[in-house]
Amino acid sequence: MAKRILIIDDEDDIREVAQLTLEAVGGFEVLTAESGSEGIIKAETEQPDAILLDVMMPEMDGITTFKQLQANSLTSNIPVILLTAKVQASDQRRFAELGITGMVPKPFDPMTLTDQVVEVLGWQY
Amino acid sequence: MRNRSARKKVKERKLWLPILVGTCVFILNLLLWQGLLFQERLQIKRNVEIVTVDISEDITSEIKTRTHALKRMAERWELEGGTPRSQWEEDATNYLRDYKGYQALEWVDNLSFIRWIVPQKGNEGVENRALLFESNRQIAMNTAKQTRNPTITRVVSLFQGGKGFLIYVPLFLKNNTQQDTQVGAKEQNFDGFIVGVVRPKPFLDAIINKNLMQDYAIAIFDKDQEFYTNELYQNINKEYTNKWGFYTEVNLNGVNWRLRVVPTLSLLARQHSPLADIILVGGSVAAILIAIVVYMTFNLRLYANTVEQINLNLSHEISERQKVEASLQQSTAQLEDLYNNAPCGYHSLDKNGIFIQINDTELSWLGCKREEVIGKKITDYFTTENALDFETSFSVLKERGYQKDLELLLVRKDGTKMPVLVSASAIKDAAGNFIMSRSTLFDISERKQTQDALSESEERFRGAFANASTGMALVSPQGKWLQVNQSLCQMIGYSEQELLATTFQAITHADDLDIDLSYVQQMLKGEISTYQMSKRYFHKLGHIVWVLLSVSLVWDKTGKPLYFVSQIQDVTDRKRAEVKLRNLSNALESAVEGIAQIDIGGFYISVNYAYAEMLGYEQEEMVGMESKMSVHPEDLEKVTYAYQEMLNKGKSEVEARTLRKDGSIFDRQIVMVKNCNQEKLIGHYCFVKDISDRREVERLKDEFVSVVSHELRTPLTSIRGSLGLVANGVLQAQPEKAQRMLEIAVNNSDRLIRLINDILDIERIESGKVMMNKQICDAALLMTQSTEVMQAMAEKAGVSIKLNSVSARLWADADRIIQIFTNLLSNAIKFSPPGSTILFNAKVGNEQNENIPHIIFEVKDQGRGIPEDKLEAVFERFQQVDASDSRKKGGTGLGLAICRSIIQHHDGNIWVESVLSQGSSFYVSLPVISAPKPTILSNETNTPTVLVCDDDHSARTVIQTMLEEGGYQTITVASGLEAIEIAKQSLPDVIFLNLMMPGMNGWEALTILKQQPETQDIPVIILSGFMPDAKLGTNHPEVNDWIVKPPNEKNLFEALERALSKSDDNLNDNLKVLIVEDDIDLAQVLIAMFERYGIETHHARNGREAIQLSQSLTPYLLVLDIALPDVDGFAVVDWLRHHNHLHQVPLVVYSAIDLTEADCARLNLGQTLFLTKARVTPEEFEQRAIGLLNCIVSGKKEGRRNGKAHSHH
Repeated sequence: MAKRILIIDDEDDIREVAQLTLEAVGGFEVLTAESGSEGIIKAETEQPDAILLDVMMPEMDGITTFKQLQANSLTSNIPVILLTAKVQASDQRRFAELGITGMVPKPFDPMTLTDQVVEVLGWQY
Repeated sequence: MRNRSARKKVKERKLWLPILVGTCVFILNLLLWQGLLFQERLQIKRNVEIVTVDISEDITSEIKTRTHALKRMAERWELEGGTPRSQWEEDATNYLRDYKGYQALEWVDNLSFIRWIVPQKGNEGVENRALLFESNRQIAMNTAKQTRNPTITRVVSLFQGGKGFLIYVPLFLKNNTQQDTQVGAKEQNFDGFIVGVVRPKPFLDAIINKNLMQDYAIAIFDKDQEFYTNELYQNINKEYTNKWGFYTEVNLNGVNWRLRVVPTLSLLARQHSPLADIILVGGSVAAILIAIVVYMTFNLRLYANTVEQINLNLSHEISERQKVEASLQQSTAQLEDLYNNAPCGYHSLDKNGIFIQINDTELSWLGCKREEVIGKKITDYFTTENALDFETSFSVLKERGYQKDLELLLVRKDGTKMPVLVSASAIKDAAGNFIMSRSTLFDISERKQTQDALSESEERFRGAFANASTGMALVSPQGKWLQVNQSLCQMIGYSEQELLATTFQAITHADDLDIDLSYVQQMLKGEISTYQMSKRYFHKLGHIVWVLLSVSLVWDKTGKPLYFVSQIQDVTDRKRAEVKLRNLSNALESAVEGIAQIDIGGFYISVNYAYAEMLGYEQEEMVGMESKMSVHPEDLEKVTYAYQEMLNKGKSEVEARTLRKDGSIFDRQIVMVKNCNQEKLIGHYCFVKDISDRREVERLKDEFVSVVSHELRTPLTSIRGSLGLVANGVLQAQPEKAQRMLEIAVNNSDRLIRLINDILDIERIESGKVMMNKQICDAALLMTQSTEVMQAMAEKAGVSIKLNSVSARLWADADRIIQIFTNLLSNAIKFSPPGSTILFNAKVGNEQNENIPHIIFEVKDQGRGIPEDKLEAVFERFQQVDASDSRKKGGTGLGLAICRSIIQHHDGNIWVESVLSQGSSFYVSLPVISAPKPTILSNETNTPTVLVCDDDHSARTVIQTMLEEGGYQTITVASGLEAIEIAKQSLPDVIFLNLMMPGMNGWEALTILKQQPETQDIPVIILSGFMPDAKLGTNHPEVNDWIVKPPNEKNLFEALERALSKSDDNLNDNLKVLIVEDDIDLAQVLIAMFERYGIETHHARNGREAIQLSQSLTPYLLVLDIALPDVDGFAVVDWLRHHNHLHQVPLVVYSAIDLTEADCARLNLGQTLFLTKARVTPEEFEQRAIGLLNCIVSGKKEGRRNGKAHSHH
């Protein structure tokens, strides 16, 4: 059974690319959400195996979304990988403190994206 | 006085008698002397007489003797019948030997020839001489012959030379045979003569007694001829001869001589008896003596009288004295009493210093009895040192006669010493010998004590004064330095002498002088007893010395001020320190940085204003506060660590959050510096800076960077991802997907480009690096253009744009404004649902700003709208309203931010109003600039003046109104006379002249006007009810025009213009305009315009032509386009400027772009007008250019007129 990954990112193109990447390369089933709030709802309902979460989003940013996911019992156990352009050390530290499982920097090499996801999640494909 | 004159008189009286007596005796004596002398003379005379006679007798006898001898010779001859020659010569020689004095003896024969002569020697040439014709001789010979006696000749010249006489002894031969009775017989016997030739001198010298020869001067005269003188006679004085000489006669044979004998002086002298002289002298002396005797006798008598008188007085005196003595004795007793009991000691010493007298007081001092002291040496009663001094002064006393104020120590009998002051005088006798001293002694023991005490205290004071470390001085009430100590001298650099010669005012700084003097006055008046002030002295070297002056005043017993006592402390250093401190303090206080001093315990000692303010406290309340309190608890550790670091290194720096009094937090940069006092830590200083702003800025920057970075990465992510997929061939099986990926890549690349551009753009705008290219734009045009640009996009989105353009004059960068509009439209399109309409309009109004009109553009969409809280935020950078933002639609997130920036640079405003889900309206306001004022043709600065002359008031009014509305200046007059006057004064451009006027009518006025040189050129328009006379007609040479009343406006103005232009005709002929414009169309427009005014226009297509044409014709006006193909406008202007006749050419610069001030300066020639093509409409250009031209023309007219008028004055 293919793993299902939820991509939460406000940028259409990125979602598209990421989706294609994960589907084509990783063979994952990909769900997308445009915003943090949408993402939470989808996470609750769809219960994906992992969430790829963008940090910089209007309205509800990635961290807030994450916290909410953590707070939400339905989603708290879903591993979350941050997909972010914010890659400075201070940021990394912050994210780590929060309990993020992994981080993928933007821009990403689509090939490695899949690998990273897999590695982080400890899956095999 | 009386005595003296009386005495004088007496003396005179005394004198005359002896004088008289003496004189008498003297006179008698003189007489006697004279008598004696007289007697003597007589005697002498007698003697001389005797001698003379003697001599005469001598001579006579002598000659007789000699003659006798000769006669014997002659007798012999006679007897012998002639002696033979040799015999005769022998005889003669013998004779000559016996009888001295002969020159020669001769025998002269009877024929009177000298035959024989002896001696031969000396008588050469005489022999055989004839004597026949010698008269004197002949006389003597004849006489001798006749008398038969020797005869002497007179004194004759001898043949031998010289003078002499001859004694002729005739020779008659004795003939026994003959008788002497016959004469002839005598004759026959004559045998010549024997002649004795005598030179008188030797002869007489021999004869005369030698003795007599010595004593007497003898001369013998033969008649008057002097033939003999003895030696003495030769030197004799004639007068003397006359006085003493004596004459006698010597008679000899044949001659009578006169003998003169004069006694010699020596003889006289010898004969002179001194008796007379003795008598004289003696007598004189006697006279004097007698006089003296008489005088003395006289005196004696007087003296005797005086003595008697004195005696009388003396006896009188004695009796008086006796009386006095009695009282004297009385006084003496008193005196003695006084002497002895005087409050001072008296004593007298003899020349050896032994007491000969001493008063009781002194005795009591000494503690001795009189008997003990008298006879003792005074030095016994002095100390040994004093004794020596005494001896010295005693000698001085004896010499000088006085001694004063000697301080000596008297040794009492009991051994105690007593200081005394001794003064003494010496009593001397008549001879000047010291008899004794008389001394006065004062007990000065008390005085001495006080003196000692005083001098001691004085010494102490002086010491204190001189050695004081502060300056001390005594100053006179007038300010003169009386005394100064070393410290003061050193302080102000003057020497003691220099200071003592001057006053304190002289070295006091002017600013301090008044205060000082006022204090002084107060002290002198007694209002204050002391004062203290800081003041400045001028050091000798010129620099200022700050001192602290303390002054008090010393008064004398009478209440007069004596002197000031001043203490002067050099406070220069202190002052300097004070100033430094003050400066420092000020600096500290005014420091922007907060500065605090903290003690070891960590408590504030003091804080400056900035520090307190930073923390929100008052300065005072912070003192004693614990400094830790203001540090945010979380940063406390950091601060403590920094404190430790400071202790180690002396200084440390830390950034920490700080708590204000009100609890608010801000970021602070703290610099801590150790404060040590001689190695010992006494606390530390804190220098703090509020770095909130900095933080904020940093934060913003970081944020921006991260945001930008994020924004850049986002499209990059898409690109990377999409391309990566394609590149890896993952999508080989899905070509449409691959294609899609490429699309994404491309799109995002574009997005990236746009983003980067926008970022750069906004950065440039905001940093001011971009110059807005402002110019005059029309709002409508901009709106239209923007709409056109967005039309395609709108269509694509299925949205329509409704444009309502409004024209307005804007001063803006057109491109940028279009950028704004397109941006707004783009946003509107993006957010408008398909089928909706976007409204794009504008409104001019003053809503925003009262003074400046604005135009407000509106872009209204019917989109989702913007939530109220985001209405401001949308203009921020990278703000997304929500996920479905324009970002998706390709926006960069900077659009509105850029718009705002641009608007800010245009002094405008941008804002948005929105209703959610209904739509948003974006507003842009920009200031509108006003159009330039319209210029009135030909009336710009020199409005033509019209003089209206009409006696009819209403007519005047009508015309005036008409003219003024037409823009002319009018002057109205009511009569011809006035018209002439006013015309002369004001020199109007045209004169409207009515004909029918009382007094001077129009024609008359006209004539005069045309006669006056000032007014003859002014065009005259007749304004009359009458029609122009057929005869006179409108061709009247002096009338420009004829208008029939009531005037038609059109006719009026036409005539006016004609008149004006006619007067300008002369000038207009010369009016040339050069248009330099490469755009032919534009040039033609300009040319046409100018020609309408009848102005000769020339056209140059480029700079070179322009220059050429300028040379050939002198344009009145130059219209220049700056942008020319070859030589640009600047160059043309430069060239023109360098040519004399062209450098003042008025210029209209017509350029496509706005010129900077620098450019304008370069283009200045004469009057220059700068017009920008975009800014100025063609009509405006015309107005301005013609206006300028008119200006020039009138100016020239004025100049000419002035010139004319002037020349006639």
